[in-house]
Order: sequence, then C-alpha cells, then structure tokens
Amino acid sequence: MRRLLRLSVIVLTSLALLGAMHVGRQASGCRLRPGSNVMLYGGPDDPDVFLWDSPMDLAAYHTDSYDAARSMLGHAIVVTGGTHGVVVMCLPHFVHREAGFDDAVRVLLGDGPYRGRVGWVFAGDLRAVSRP
Amino acid sequence: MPAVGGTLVFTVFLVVVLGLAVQGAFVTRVQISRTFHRQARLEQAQIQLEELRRLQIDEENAVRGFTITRDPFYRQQYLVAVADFGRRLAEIRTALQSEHLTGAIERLRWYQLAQRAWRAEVAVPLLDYPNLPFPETAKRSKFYADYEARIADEIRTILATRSAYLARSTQEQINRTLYVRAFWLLLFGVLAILFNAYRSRTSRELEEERSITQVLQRAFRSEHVPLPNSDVGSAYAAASSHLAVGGDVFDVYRLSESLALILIADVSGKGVDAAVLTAFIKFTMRGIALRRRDPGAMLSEFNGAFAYTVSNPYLFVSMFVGILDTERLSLRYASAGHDSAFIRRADGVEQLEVTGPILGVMEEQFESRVLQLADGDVIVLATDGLTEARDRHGDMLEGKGAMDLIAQANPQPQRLADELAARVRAVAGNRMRDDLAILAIRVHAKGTAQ
Repeated sequence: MRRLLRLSVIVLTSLALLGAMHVGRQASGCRLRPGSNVMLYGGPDDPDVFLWDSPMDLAAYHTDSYDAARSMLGHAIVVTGGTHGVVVMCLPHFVHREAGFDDAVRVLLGDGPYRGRVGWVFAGDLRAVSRP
Repeated sequence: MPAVGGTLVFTVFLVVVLGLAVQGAFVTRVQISRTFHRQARLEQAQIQLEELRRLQIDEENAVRGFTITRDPFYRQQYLVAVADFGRRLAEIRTALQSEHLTGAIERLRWYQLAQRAWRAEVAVPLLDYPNLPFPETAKRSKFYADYEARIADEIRTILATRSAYLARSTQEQINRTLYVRAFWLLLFGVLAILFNAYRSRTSRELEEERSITQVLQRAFRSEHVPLPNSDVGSAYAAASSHLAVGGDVFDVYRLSESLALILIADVSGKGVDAAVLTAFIKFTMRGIALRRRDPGAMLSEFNGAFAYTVSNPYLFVSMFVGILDTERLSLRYASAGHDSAFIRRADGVEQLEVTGPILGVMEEQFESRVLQLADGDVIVLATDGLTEARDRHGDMLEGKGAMDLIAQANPQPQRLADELAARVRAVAGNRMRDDLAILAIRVHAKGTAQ
C-alpha cells in the first residue's frame, strides 16, 4: 500500500514538473534573445518602423482609435527600414496584433541618424542578422 | 371504370412528382448561379482592394522619389496614381454596396479619409516644399500607412468572411438540392413501381375476366345447324376494350323438319355476368320455342321469366326472335327493341321494324309479324355493334349505313357476315367500342339450294 502511494506521488510529481516546464517554455517564448543582432524592417510595402519610448506606447498604438493613436506620435520616431540594432530586452506576447500576439522588443540602434537611441518595436518588425 | 380512374390519378400524381423534381432542380440552378455571381463580385472587390493598396503605395513612392530627385516625372506619377485611386475606390464601393456590406463601406470611407489626410499633411507639403524637415512628415506618413494597412486588413477580413459564407451557402444549397431531388426521385420510383403493380394487377384481372367471358361466349354461341333450303353464316367481332366484352348472343335451333328458331340478342351489361345471362337467354328461348310457335308470345313469356330470374334492375335485353319456315319460305318474327334486323332482297335491303320494348323493363305484350321470303333473300341479324359503330369522327353508322354495307356485301351468308364484320372494324379504325355478332341466313326455293 505504501509502495503504491509512493509510486503515485512520483508519477504525479513528474507530471506536474512536465506541465510547469511546458508553461515556462511558453511564457519565456521570445523569438529574439537579448544580445541578438537585428535589422529593423517593416515589410516590402512600408519598410520604415516606429521606435516607441515605452512598450505601453507600442501596445496602445495598435489597439487605440485613430485619434488616440495619432496623438501618441510624439512618443515615437520613424526609423528607416534596414537600420541595424541589438536586442536589449524582450517582453513575450505583449502586443495584440491582427495575426495574434507579438513580442515587444527593446532595441539599441547601431547605425543611421538615430544611432545609440533605444526604443521599443514589434518582434515582427525585426530580422535577425549575423554580425561579426 | 374504377381501374381507369385509379390509373388516371396515379398518372397525374407521377407527372406532378416528376414536375416538382424538375422544377426544384431549375430553381436551385438559378439560386446557385446567383450565388456564384455574388462570389465573383466579391472576388472582384478583393482584387480591386489590392489594386487600391498598390495605388496608395505608388503615391507614396512617387512622393519619395520627388523629394529625393526633384524630378517632375514623379509629380506626374503621383497625379496619375491619385486619379486612378479615386476611380478604383468608387468601383469597390459599388461592389460593397451591392452586397450590403455596410461595415466594409464604412471602413472604405475611413480609408479614403486617411488617404486624403496623408495627401494634405504629407504629400502636398512635400511636393510643394521638398526641403521640409522630414522626420515629422515621415512620422505622419508612417502613421497613415499603418492605419490604412489596418483598415485594408479589416476590409479583407469582411470580404473573406462573406465569401466563405457564400461558399458554405452554395454547398448547403447543393446538398439540399441533392437531398430534395433524391427524395422526389425516390418517391417517383416508388410510385412508378406501385403504379406498375397496380396496372399489372388490373390488366391481369381484366384479362382473366375477358378470358372467362370469351370461353363462356364460345360455349354458348351456336354451332351452325344445317337447315333445309338455307345457308347460314355468322361472325363475331370482339370489342377493342376489355371492359366491353360480353352480352351478345345468337342462335339457330332447328325445331322440326321445316321450322327453325333464329334468335339474336344483346344484353345491356358487360363482362362475365352478361356472358352468363346469354346462356340463360339461349336455353330459355329454346325451351319456350319447343312449346310455342308465335315469336311475340315467346318474348312475352321470356320477359316474365327474365324478370323472375334476374334480380339486377340494370340488366336489359334487346332481342329479335323468329321462326323460319324453310318449306314455305316465310319468317314469323317479333323484335323486343332490337332494330339491327334486315332483309336483303333482290331489289334492296329493308330494316325489320321493332314490335315491342326491350325485355326486363316491364310486362308487355309483343306483336309478331310475318314476312314472306323469296328465293335468295338473306336475313341479316346483328347486335348494336353494327348500327352503333362509330367512325373516327364519332359519327354512328346507324340503320342507313348498315343497310348500305349489307347491300354492298357478297350475298353468300358466311362471306356477307365476314365482310360486314371487317367493314365495321375498318369504319371504327380497329377501335371497336362494343362486341358485334352477325347472323346471316339465305333461303332458297325448294330444289334450288346451292
């Protein structure tokens, strides 16, 4: 009886650990890790990217109304598509966009007129690049 | 009649079921065609939306090109894109309105307003003053581009949703049509099987009745008894319709060396009952004829026996009965409402008059007539299938027509009977409504028999 009890405890604990590992993997699911070299690129139609002062501004811009979004433009700069940078921080699944949740990524710009500036962009507007 | 009525009802029902199946197919075809047309219109709107997005990007690129190169070519390109943009926008709006997509129409209006704002705040200032500080203008340009992209996505979603709905609805229509048509065809098939079974059963019953009737008729019809100084011929033509077979009877029965009973009768009913009644007529009249020699008295006696024996109030009999004296060449006869009796003489054909009402109606006295015959005269007796034969126009032959046919026929009794039967069949176009019995007797003066 005791042996059966011990076996049950082991099995249940193993299952709980496996579940916790799975949840943890989901929560820390950032595509880009801090230190990754990236290129800012919005897409073929509009390659430029907004770089926001805070992740809240980034999220609000895509969920707020036309007027609210427009009033927030003072908290952003437009970075030319193709500008390089380095990932500083990542908040997984932070922003809700049409295609689903996207990571908010803090980036340090490495070239262009805003070189040295830090701001927040969508992970979808970043391309990982290998840089020496 | 019930069989005919049932057949008619079944046929009408089958036609209605088939009609419904066919009509349903046509209605569904129209509905599906309409749905496909709507889907094509939605696809066209989707294509035009992508074209609109391309024109918007063309405008942006033209402005960018101008600010970098100052080349008037880009300004011209910008103006062309602006003109096309307006036209394309109007086309999309028409398509959206035809589908009553109010949400998409509203978003298209926002899109148009955003594009106008972009032109006013970004494009026109840059085209007029290419040296404007770019960062702020770029920010606005990016904002409008993002906004328009988001609106375009929403319109795409609405169009795709409606398109998916139409596709689903088309599939449902096709499925529904298949089920409904399968149901109607199944019903049609079952009804057709039932109809066929019903018809087979009815035909079998009719055929059995006809077969029984014909067996009875053959059994009761007289064989020709040789009569002195006379030739006898007879013919029988059955009606085309199974229902009409029945109550015709004739008889030639030798009573003595020189006397013979000749008789023809027609029973009002049809079928087995009438055929059985013909046996009653034949043998009752033979029995009476053995005791009596006056045809009128014979009919009177038969009339009493008929009323006593036959309980069906709808059965009547017309009958011609005669006592032929082959020695003296005379015919004593009486006719109970039977007008198809003729004498063909050397100088023409005469119709023998009726001497009393039909049998089975009331007690009545029947008169007798005596007819003197000449060598070669032919007594022609027939049932009403002769005088009431109808041609293709529905006109009856009647007594006059029958006398013409008799006058034209061969005088030899058997050939005369056969010819008459054939002519009546020809007149009726092989669609005889009633049976026809013909009895022909040619008398000869003693010693001239052929």
